[in-house]
Amino acid sequence: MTNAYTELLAGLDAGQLDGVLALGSRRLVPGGSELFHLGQDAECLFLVESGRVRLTMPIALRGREEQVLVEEITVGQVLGWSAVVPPYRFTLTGMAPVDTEVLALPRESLRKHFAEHPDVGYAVSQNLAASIGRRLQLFQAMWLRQVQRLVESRCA
Amino acid sequence: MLMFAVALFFSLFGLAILSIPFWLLLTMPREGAQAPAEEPEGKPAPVAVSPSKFFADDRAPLVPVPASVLVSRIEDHVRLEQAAAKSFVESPTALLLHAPTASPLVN
Repeated sequence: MTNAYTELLAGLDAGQLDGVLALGSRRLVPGGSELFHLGQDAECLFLVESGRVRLTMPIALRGREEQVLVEEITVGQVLGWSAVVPPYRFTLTGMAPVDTEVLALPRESLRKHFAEHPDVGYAVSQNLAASIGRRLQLFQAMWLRQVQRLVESRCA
Repeated sequence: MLMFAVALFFSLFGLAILSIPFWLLLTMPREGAQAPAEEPEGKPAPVAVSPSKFFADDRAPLVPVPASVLVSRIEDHVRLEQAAAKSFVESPTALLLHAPTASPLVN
């Protein structure tokens, strides 16, 4: 297994790994262009093979909309969970600051493959849940830090 | 009667003598003072600047930060906050949860 798939495909043997990778197609995202945009239909899960992807959300600054970094996804990490979670629409914008290569795994292909290979589906689902859980914990902590500051500034 | 008239005369004369310096002070131009220059037509008169006051904010007006700089500061803040949150997730304690960062947005 290469480093590029450690987050989503950890624990799969070589045959299982090849089976999942065969479902995907490589996409080159030129530096400065978007992989997906907030609100678009999310059809694919992405694995970053090279480069990186900035996940951003819009923020209003002086009456203008600016994209602000929420998280940066690097080699080996997975992004685009919106493709496997209803209503299947991106809630962030993914932009490659440098030339980036991703493996796009279509939701429907994954679903069929997992139905045929439940052990693979279970392992991948476990990895995805762990990944989502880690980021949820991270953002919970960030949110609470912000609430703490708000309380200190407004109620102290 | 004559004495009264003499006394009145000298009183008025003394008052007149004493009023001369006051009159001179009021009518003579002050030393160093210049006559106001005639403003060219169309040019607005300079706005009088009020002197600094006690408790007044004498700081220079804030120069608006460009949006790109602000976005960059926000992103630095997000990175620092993520790093702090990651430390908490790896070793959850109340102390680490609220550990301060060097972010200029919150300091």
